[in-house]
Amino acid sequence: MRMSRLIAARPPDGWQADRYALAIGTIGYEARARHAFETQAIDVETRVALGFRDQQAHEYSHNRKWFERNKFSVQEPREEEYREIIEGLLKECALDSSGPLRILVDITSATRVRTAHVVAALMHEQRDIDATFVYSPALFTPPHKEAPPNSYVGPVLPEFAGWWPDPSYSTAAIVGLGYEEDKALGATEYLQASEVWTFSPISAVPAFFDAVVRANDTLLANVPEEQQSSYQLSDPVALTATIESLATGVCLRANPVILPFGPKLFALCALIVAARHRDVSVWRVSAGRAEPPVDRKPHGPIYAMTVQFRTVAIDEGRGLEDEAPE
Amino acid sequence: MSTSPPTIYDSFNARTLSADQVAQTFVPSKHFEALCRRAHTLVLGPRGSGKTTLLKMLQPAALERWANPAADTIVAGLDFTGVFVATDVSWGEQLRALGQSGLDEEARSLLSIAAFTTHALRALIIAFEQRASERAAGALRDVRRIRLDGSREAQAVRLIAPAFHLTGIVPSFFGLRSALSARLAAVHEIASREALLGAKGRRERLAARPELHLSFLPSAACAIEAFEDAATVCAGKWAYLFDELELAPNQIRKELFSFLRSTDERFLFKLALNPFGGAPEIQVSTSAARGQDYEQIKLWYPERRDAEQFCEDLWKGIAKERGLGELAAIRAFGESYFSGAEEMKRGESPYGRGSRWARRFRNLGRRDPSFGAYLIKNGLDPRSLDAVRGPRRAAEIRKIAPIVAVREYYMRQPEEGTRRSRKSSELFTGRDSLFAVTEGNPRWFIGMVNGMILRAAGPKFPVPRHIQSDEIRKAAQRFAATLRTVPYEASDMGAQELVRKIGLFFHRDAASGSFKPEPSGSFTVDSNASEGTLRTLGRAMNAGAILFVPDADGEQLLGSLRGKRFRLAYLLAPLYGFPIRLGKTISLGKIISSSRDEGHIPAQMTFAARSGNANE
Repeated sequence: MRMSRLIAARPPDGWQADRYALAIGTIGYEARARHAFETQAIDVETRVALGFRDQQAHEYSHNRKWFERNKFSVQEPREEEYREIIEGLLKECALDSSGPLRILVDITSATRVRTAHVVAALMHEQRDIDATFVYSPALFTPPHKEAPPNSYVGPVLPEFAGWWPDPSYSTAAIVGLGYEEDKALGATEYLQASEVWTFSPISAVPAFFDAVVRANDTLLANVPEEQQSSYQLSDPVALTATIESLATGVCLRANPVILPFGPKLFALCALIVAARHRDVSVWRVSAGRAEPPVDRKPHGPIYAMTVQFRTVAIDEGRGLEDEAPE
Repeated sequence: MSTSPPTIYDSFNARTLSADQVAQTFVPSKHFEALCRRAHTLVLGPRGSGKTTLLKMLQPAALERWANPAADTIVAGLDFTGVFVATDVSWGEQLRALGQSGLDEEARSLLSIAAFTTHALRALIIAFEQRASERAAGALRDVRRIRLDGSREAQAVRLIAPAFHLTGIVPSFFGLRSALSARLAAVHEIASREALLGAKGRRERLAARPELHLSFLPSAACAIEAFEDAATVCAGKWAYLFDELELAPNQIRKELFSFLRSTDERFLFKLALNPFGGAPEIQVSTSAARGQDYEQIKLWYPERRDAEQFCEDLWKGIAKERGLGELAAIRAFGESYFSGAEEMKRGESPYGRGSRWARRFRNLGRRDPSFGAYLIKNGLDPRSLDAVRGPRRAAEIRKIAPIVAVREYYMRQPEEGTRRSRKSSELFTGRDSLFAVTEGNPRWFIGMVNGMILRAAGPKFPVPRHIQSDEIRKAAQRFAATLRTVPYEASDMGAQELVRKIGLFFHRDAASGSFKPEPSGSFTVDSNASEGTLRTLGRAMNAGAILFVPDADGEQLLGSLRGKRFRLAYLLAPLYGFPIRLGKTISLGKIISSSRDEGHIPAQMTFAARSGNANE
């Protein structure tokens, strides 16, 4: 017998009415950074809002003031401190809680790296946790005219690099499409992917879908239709299940790398799949600080997903996936 | 004609293909002949240049199925067993990430070397399985095949397993391979556990695991000896074929380079690397010297003509595979924009009155006062270009003709507006230009040509210009997107930005300003070029966007890029509109400083210039 961490995504029924031990917000430069907390009266014991040391543009100072006014403990950590802060917050909660710890994380203005740190910290925690992730989609804003070159292309964090059972297999790219022109194309070419599966987001703002299709026309022209699909931004649980099903199927003949462009909710779903499957890798392609800040306004709805993290004792011989928590 | 529609993702990446699939379309080249020699070899080439294909073809399984007129002779001359070790960028990242957040450098190095060693030993066992298996259906010949019954196989495995620190396995090669796969998985698990357990007692815990301390070459030698003893065959040569070696852990790479001076004559090492930065150890090491200890193969063609024969052979292979028989490339793609063959076929001079060339000279003379002055100064009359006297003057006309064509083409653009912008790649269609644009890069060639054939309904040959143009444009766009993806250091210029500056400079030098009979088409890296510029150049070289042009045969690329001559990949010509020729050489510093005032960018190049705008 050994201890293992089991992870399962669940619909967040009535998440607004739950009581949370901890809520983590992000102070970004977008107006939508505070939308979820501003529009929902959520019962939370400890409120923390983590900001950034650079790119304090557009709505940043307004957001910061709003979080301060609303009794969030505000911090602006360096990126290398972020993980430690999250782990510390989880540990502090653990001292006072019994049963599954309930936490609320708004990923709307968090970077993909920060979201990955949260998921990784939850993976490494020992106690049972129900983490509800929320996301506020934006009103349409056109993409940047000039795409800055990338400063990073690789696993979103070392924990999400994956580990191939057979490195001689070819690479399959599972791509969440965004609307930056040819960014996904460049990444699939960079990976020298042997097969590509695409996911286009469908939301209440049709302009996004149109822009995504336009920005990826060269890529999509070369991906067989049966390997192109769309997903409802409003249903991240279904999206997680779809990505997982695809990734586990692809694993039989190729090594899957997920490229989560587009809405950050896709990145979260990809991270949850990779947290459950060691042979799945999640990458990011980023221009880092060269990416110019854009103020994105909230569209209105808030999409959510609850992810259960459980520590269980399992037989060495049994598969983890058979033991998803109820 | 075959109608199976290969997508860009399943047809021209050798990594995806099994050895026998690679063999089905493999076209031998001078590079392959060199690789087949009994010598240690460094294979240098950018992505897509065919490194993986070449290495995979040295495996017995590929050689057995290779149906090519040259195959029997080449195979007969080979006296080693190829052991292919695959690597790719995602596996390289995984090795780098192994335990990264919680392990010290010593532990990470130990574990990544253990993973790589396990992978390489597993490749050796796969080679054993290939040699000992039954002849496969479709095999045309036996290559280093041996007979090994179950008991002898078990005998070999019983000797190999303890040498690999494996116990309790099924005594077969399959059992060995499975156990090595399990070990590979275990290495990751050990790294995860060690990250959690912390540094205290780590050295002792890791030291207590002998499987993490296997030394690659002695372990492989031991296994080979057991294999050959069991098969009762004489000791043979084994060639380890390491693909994308720059992605391997540093320690492994250093070790492999030291093997190039191997004293163990059983082994050959054929190491495939990026052209830049993949072998820094060799640059500083005197332990292995090119020419004495290893041979070097460069998988790119500095001059466009160098790649022509290889492209022709590639085309023949594709035509055969697609059921097009002996269809000549010139029939499939037609003459290039720069050819005068059509006039010659009609028995006319390509430069005669009314010819396309005469029209281009005349039109440019009217539009461009500087060219008009050039014509007058040199006594050239566009109505009678074919009447010039003396071979030297005729050669001058032929020399400036491509520049005239490009300049005239782009100078027409403002009048015809954006209608032409979508057709700009048309300038680069036709057999000769298509061959040049593909650079003899198998992945580019196969991708573009397959796309054209599939779209040429009918089949309709020559492939219509608009289809050729479209496929070339898409390939160039994919390439530009890859260049944009290549990561850079924050202080450096992006690879795509550098390439764009050079491409637009060459365009302007040829197509605007005063007419120059020999505009620049290549560049030399200044002696004072910054380290950042060199890094960016290196990345662009590894991606295949910039190619080294040696001034003297045998000039080494390894070492500093300063003072060396380069050109842009011709696949970028449709994006930036520069002539496909080496032209004069200019200093890179001059290009970069002049690009600060880029001025007018023709509509044809809006895609290249805008570099990622989704709104246009």
